[in-house]
Amino acid sequence: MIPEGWSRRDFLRAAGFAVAATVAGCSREPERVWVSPLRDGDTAPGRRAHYATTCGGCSAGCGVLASVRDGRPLKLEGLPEHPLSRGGLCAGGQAWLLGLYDEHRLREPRVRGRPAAPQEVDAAIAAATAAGRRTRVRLLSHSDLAASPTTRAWAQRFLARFDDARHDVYDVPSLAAVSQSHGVTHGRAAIPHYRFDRADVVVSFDADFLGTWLSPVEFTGQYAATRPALHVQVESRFSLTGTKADVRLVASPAESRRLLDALAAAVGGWPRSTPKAVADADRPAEAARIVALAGRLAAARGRALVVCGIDDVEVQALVNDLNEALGAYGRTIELERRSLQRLGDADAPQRLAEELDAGGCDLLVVAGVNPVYDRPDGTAWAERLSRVPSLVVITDRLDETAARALAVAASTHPLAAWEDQTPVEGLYCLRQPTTSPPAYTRTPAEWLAAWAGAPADALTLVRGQWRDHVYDPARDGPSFDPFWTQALRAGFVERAVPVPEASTHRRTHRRELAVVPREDGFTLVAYPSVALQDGRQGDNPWLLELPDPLTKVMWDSAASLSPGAARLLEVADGDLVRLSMIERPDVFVDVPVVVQPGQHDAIVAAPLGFGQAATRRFTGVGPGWIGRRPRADAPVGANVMPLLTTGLTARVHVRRLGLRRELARTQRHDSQHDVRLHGQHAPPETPVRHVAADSGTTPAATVAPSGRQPLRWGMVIDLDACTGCSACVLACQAENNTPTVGPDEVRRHREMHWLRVDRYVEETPAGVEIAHQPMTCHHCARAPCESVCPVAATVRSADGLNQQIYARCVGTRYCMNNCPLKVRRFNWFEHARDDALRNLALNPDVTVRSRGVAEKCTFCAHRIQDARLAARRDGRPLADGDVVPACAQSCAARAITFGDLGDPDSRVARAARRPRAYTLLDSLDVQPALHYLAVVRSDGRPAPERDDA
Amino acid sequence: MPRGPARIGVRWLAPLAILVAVVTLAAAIPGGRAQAPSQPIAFSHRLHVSDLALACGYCHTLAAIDRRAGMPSAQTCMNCHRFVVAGSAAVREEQWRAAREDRRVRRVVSDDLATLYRAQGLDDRLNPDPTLASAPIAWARVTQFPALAYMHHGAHTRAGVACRDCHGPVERFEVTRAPRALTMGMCVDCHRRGRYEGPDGARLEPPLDCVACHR
Repeated sequence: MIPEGWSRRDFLRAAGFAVAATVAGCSREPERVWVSPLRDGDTAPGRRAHYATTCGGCSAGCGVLASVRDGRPLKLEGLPEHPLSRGGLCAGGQAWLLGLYDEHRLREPRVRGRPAAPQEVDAAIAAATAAGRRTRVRLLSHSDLAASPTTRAWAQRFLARFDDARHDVYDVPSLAAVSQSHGVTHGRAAIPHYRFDRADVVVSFDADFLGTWLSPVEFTGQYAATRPALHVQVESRFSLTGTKADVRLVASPAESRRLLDALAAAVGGWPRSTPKAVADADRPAEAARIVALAGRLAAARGRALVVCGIDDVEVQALVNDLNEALGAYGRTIELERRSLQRLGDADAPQRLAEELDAGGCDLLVVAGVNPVYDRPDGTAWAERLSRVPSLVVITDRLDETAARALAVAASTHPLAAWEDQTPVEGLYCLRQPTTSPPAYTRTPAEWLAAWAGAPADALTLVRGQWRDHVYDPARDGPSFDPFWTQALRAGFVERAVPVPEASTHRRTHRRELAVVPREDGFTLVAYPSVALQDGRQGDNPWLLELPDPLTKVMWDSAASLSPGAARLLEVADGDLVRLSMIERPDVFVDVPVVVQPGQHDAIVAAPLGFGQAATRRFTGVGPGWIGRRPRADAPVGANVMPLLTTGLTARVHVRRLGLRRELARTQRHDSQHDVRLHGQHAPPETPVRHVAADSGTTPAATVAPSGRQPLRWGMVIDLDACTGCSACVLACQAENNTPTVGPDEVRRHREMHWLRVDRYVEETPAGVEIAHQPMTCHHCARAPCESVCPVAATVRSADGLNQQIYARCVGTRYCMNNCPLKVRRFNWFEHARDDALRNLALNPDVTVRSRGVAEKCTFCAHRIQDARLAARRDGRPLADGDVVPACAQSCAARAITFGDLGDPDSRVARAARRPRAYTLLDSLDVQPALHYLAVVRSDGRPAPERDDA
Repeated sequence: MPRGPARIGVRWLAPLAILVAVVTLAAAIPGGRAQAPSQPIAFSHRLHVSDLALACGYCHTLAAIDRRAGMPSAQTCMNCHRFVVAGSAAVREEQWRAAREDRRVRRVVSDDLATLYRAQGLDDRLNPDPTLASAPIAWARVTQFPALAYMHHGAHTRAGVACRDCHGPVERFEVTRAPRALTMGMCVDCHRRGRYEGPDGARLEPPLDCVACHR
């Protein structure tokens, strides 16, 4: 190519001149810096502000600290001072942020299917109530609306305009039986406030209190802080709570009732309601074990707690009797301090349905619930609602119910609104806007106030309610404003609860537990999944791509079967089965199977919250490329609600369809002895180590016990505290701009989560045990990834971080191949960054990686720097605990400790020296900075030493 | 060796083709060299810093504490330009004219300051004008810093790095420009030499880790 007579040097000189001339001569349109003409007091571009508010991801009402930068919230963290959540925040809470940036949220109301102004909805209400006081009005909502003092007050004022009006509340799933049973046994129909932190012995019948039951973040915090000496879990499927139990008994829902009966008889000395022969023939071994536990329970009088997730008043009444006999009330159960997290009335939907069918309602207002989707008789509701003269739905999206409404009153996302909530009696929590709301939406309180004839903005409504009903001049000083400012700053206010007249326990009659006959065939157990909870965030891509902690399935509602049942049906993982109602074979749901060891053989368990019409939009999810296998144009997963009749169980036929749908799973092996490295069996070291109650362990030798070593950032994860709830996974995703990739990419092992939670299944003589292991970059001192990078894109920093430099990375993926822990991720695509609204949730402090580079956990290096700068600004050295990575922040169980391993007195170094500490793959001598604390299995024997520091 | 005219054409063809390619490509590379983009207001650092002796931090308030140095809001300008509405030369000329024409001195407002007032919705008499909407002033960015790196102004200011160490002798610029490209070589050079001292007099050791800037 080079012309004759030109040396290579001449050529380069000419070319170099050309470049220089061009760069000097060309200029592009300069980048603009837009400066606000007005000075804004406390905000500065790029500076973060934090606002205390209350989570609305489920009904639990955890405290949230929203990190706001440049006028928009970027990350939700647990509010450390909050009395319930104590700084923890679950996966659903982390993902709640993304809902704010959802382009499918309603930005304006709709009337008769067309976008409308808010006043047109008001006009529709006025037209529907033209008959004045004679109009028959019904309001149907979930608990959040009823647990908000302001919204409830305005709902009452709206309904008070009519002679025949009622507010009905229901929950999915319902806990109404707990409340009703307390009405029977204690004369106070309420869900009590449970105190797992005061319990030494916990027995749970089908209550997944660490995963989804009532207030999981609160209970996880309590449970982890003072781990009960004995935790017995009786359940049919494998729940998150079951993985932490010391003794886990497998029993179908019907068998659970009989085991409960046997336990109550053994503890209370009451005659058994179930014939003993029936129960013992059922599960003789389990019956014997649970009766043996009666002694432990009785010995822990006042420190024992029995909880039950079976939605049956008689069963719950027996649980109350049992707790009374164990002295739990006043100690581990606070009945005087009601939980308002579930206020649903079990009979409400049916009562309303009958009224609607009889034409007894002129105006129906539905708020927060979606009966067409979340009621078992959803199709009947669809038909019923289309016959209601006027249906107005207060919602934030066009769901199945809103699609049938005369008017849809668009509600503001609670992160942009003034609201309040009382999750537990006496605890008033505030919501404050973290960004400006859309112009044409209103909060439910604003809608109801407008319809009650007193339109006002939400701040006025909430302030007014608080001034009149929460503020106490005698206690809070003569002026309301300081009290309000303080409440806003804290996010909540605690008030003494008026003690009701002593509720005395009445055991007036022998409880007759209906003898449920032994069933043949399968029982469907529908359960709220850890990711989707009650389903209100069922179209959130972060949650849909969160692997289920037990099955590790994402983007699908897989029905789990025990290995025995799977053999019987001749199905394996991914085979489609048809679940159909026994009485009505035309009502069926097709779902893929996932085989779950440790599940009852006669149970098929399926998650709730899937199959929402709104998830149809994920048809094209994932990168578009020539080899893609797009999802079918269908909702994500299937809704199993139509199969249910009462409660969350139903008898079903299970039939193999002979079709397959490959599951999108992040972990395909169950046993840790099955792990293969390079085609060979893994080294004898096991990822998850167990410590039996009486066995000693050798201390980890990797941390020098004394003497100041150079700074080295490190992490210790206590596997015994970890429940596998996966909040850390989503906290990491929100913090570090990790994309969602869709099921097709996950099947190709291309998921992008920096932090994953592995789970290992062990078959032991005592039953199946599952342990969780959060897995992320170990920041090895002798990192195998570093030595193979040809461009030094991954190198070690002075403070012990394994750095990944995107600008240098050329994408050879050698590092990924050489990483023994498989924690590195590769950007195969420029992942979906075309959603301008969703991009507003990106964290500007972390690079958005482009195609062709490897990435992995940085130990939140940007947070380390921020903490360092903050310390320097204050003129003090960096203190232990100053740096909190996103994963550690959200962990309700406080299982993750982060700090300087070089400082022998730091919390992390002390934890790494504990006898339970170990590191992975010692034989490779990679010297990781991530240590684990082994799981403790007590197997029902006396309490093992957990506090072995 | 004799060469025909055709050969001369070939001889220049390849470099020319490459020149064209390079010109096209280079147009896509953001120029980091001394650029002086035109600004909506002809602000003179020379006048404000050298002649009037304003400190950098008077306008760039965040430079000492925050990640970004920050651009002043129009309200900051109004601290002085509420009273100073035109350059002194223009005012003197109007006074001279008025004296010669034997009339009252008219109010003179410079075009640049009129832009400042209009951005705040004010007319030339500084009264709110409802026909003018308040709008941000769209300054052109002068100093280009690559998006793949993160730097913190506050950390550098606290360490004693002077503004001019990176931004050059801004106080001499009539038209603001970036005299030198901010390259990684320049950052690393300074971090390696570590010639700054902390408040306690100890020599600072700036980080040389990649994640100090790239994350």
